[in-house]
Amino acid sequence: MPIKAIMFCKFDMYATSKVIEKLRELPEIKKLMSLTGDYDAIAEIEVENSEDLYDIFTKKLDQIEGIIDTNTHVVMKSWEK
Amino acid sequence: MQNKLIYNIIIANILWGFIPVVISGLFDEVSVITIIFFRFFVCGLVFLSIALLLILVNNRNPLKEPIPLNIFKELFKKNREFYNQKFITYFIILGFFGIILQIIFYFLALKLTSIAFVLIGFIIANIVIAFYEHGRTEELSFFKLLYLTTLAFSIGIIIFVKAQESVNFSISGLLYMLLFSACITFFHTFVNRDGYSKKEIKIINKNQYYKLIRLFSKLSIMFLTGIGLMFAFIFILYLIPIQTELTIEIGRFFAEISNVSILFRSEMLFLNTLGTIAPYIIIFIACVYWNPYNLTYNQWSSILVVIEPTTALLFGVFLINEFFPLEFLIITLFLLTLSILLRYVHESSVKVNAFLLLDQNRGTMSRLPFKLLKFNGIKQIDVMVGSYDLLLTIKKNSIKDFYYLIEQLKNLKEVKSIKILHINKINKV
Repeated sequence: MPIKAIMFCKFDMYATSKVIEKLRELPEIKKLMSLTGDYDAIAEIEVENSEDLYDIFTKKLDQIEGIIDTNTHVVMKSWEK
Repeated sequence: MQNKLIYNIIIANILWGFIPVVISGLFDEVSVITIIFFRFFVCGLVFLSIALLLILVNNRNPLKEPIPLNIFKELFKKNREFYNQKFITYFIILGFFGIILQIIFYFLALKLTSIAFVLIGFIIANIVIAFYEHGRTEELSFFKLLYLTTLAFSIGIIIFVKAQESVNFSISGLLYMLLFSACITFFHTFVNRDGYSKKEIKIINKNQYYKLIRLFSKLSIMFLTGIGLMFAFIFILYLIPIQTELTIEIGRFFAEISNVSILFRSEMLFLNTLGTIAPYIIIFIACVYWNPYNLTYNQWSSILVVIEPTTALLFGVFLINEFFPLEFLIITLFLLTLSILLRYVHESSVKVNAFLLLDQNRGTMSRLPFKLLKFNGIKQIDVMVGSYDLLLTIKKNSIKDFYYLIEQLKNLKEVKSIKILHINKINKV
């Protein structure tokens, strides 16, 4: 069963556009938006299982320079109208 | 173009723009009431059949969440967005005053005046709606003021042109045009006041198809109950011993009602198929599959609503030789096109896309999402594990409207804290 996670990110202020470009290229990131407030961006990640979620963080996101901090939430259920 | 579904709204408005041109030729031979009866009764039945057929097809597909027929019981629940009246009452009122009476007055005004003159009714309605929305929630930005000024100027030009042509004018025509304008204002003001119930939200989240079925059902109920009320309305008017254009039309209607062959006249066939069924189908598809990160469907509808009267004027002048000197036609078309652009700039500049991060009080997880989804502007709710409990995706028409929503949410006893994150830019969807 696919896992959906929401990642809030803080960037180095001089690297924002480069980080955004690198995040855009990741196929696991389905939605990406720049924000104002406590975080600089929100990314919606979709992966097949928790192992893949671990992989995207360790092998991809941790390699991107300019990401200062992330706060990730796993989505249990989504409701829309 | 941000969204291909915008074309659906444009095509539907162009098709509606053809209606006065096609139907004007029928007014001398067939009563306005007969045309309306055959249009809305037949199309109401068609839409009801489509809704039931879609339910049948859906429920036979084992891969899709079945839609129970008892969903129609929701019609008898209270609609808190419409003075706590039942949903069925809301649909009947909207169907009769917003659709049937609107079209009766529209056709009567068309018959007694001209397409260009009735265009004023559309524009007045747009101006009134803009001011009404400003009073409620919308910002009256610089571009909105320019938009309204442009519309007001186009009214001035049409009145100036039509004042030179004394043939197609009557006081009763003016009255019907104003009544049409009042009805269309009523319709646009109240048309979306029917939020989903908890049961419907559960169905939609398992089967998006339900939204389409709901739209067809809603429209068929409005058409058919509107026609039912129309009978009571015209019967009462018929008994009143005062002769007006409307009572003459009612008299003709009672004489013609058994003549089903009217339904097969080319004008009626156009009106029912290309003037009603086709535009509503493409509009509903746009509404259901709208991308939530662009301007909302309602915002685009309000931007493009001017296309209908504009094309009606254009077709009227070029296809049935309506009096409108070319230089004034060019200026009017320019102003109306400009009004579309100004409205777009206004809607784009005042819209608010944001996320809200909510912490909820313990024990409220099962009921809070449904409570939240009843608020206008909350498009999606993600229930999460982490520092925050809920992520709300918000789309609002103005910052004033957005902060009003925040105040409403703060008053909910289930909500512990709210954090606002405004969306600056959509980088990937």
